[in-house]
Amino acid sequence: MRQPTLRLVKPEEGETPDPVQALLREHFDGVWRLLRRLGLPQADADDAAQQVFIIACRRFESIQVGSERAFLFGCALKLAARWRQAQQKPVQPTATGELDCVELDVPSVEELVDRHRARELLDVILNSMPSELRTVFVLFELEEFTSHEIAALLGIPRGTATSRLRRAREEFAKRLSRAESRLRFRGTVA
Amino acid sequence: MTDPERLLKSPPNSMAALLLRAAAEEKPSAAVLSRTTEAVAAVGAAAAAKTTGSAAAAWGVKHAGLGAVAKWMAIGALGGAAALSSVQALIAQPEAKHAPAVLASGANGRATIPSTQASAASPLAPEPVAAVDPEPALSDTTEPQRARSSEPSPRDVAKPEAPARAESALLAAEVRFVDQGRAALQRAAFAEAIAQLAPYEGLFPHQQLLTEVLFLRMESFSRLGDVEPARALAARVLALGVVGRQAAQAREVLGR
Repeated sequence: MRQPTLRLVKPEEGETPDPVQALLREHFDGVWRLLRRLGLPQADADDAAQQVFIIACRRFESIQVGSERAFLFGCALKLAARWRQAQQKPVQPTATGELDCVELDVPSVEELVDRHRARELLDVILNSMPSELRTVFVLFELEEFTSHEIAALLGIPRGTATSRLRRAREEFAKRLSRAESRLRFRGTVA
Repeated sequence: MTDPERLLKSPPNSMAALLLRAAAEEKPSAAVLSRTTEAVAAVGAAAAAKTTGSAAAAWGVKHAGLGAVAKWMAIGALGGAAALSSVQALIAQPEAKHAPAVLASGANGRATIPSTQASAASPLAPEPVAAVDPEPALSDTTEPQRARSSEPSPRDVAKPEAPARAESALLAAEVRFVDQGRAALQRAAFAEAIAQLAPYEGLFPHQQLLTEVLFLRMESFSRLGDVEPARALAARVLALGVVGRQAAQAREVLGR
């Protein structure tokens, strides 16, 4: 059965029921964050996030009620994938699961209090992960999608989504552990 | 099958929680949100005007807060006979060389920038947007998105019989008009380009090349060193949701 779709409704005077604007208010931060964590530099994430909502606006009538978030994040994933493809030197995940090939300027523990540095380290770790694991990890851990929602969003069986999530968490833990050991070493030397 | 507990909710002193919390708290700048709000309002207004006429256009204008969009809405919704006749005069000229490039524009009816600049644009440039399937593996209908996009909406069906030939002629005329402005710009006749492109919004009801025109005008004023109009046009370019290289140039003009 075909799901009901959204409609642009002309608001009455004094009302602001524009549903796309409502989506924008609710999901813009999340879409933008997803793009950032998938590797887009800030300026590109700005542009891509805007593009996501313009697509949503243009295709508004085809968005099924209840799947607005999935639509927006799905667009973001596609734009991020296109961005990655367009990069001349895509970030390659390390074969060993280590951070050896990454130029990592590991901050001290104190510096990690600085959230900017924390995000930098997180991005370094995420960059070293295979993209399919990274995507699942970011959607689950940061944007709080369930594995069921991730499966629907990526068009994969739920078991595959769960398996990817498990592997992603393992890979993340491994890389994080490596970074932590470097931090401790650096702290000792300092 | 239950999901594992999120690392974000693990003890706050753990490294994983620290990193993820820092990422979760990151937000886009207010300027980006504001710009996107304006762009979405402009696009929404255009869509509303396309389907519901001048009343919806007025609503879009209110939300967009863009005087230029207001002008477009009023003209676009009514599509007056006067504009049509002026366009028919234009299409009496020889066929435009660049028509195919424009006809390959986005499915939404708003043309992307068909010049050579577009081909060199970033991967996030407007042109590929139409190729994005917005519902990857989400739709539970077997009907392909692309096919659905081409279906006429109920409002389209309800409209009087579409003057397809006139629309095509309008587009061809727009292409020719814009090409003349672009040619002037390319031969560094900036004032001529400005003069050529200035009446565009008054002449053409559908303004399918509005983005291109605004960009060319911005470029012309910028090259002339006329900063204020260039900045105003750059703001309009960004408000229309242009991304990629064009957006970067507009932002450069705005000094962002």
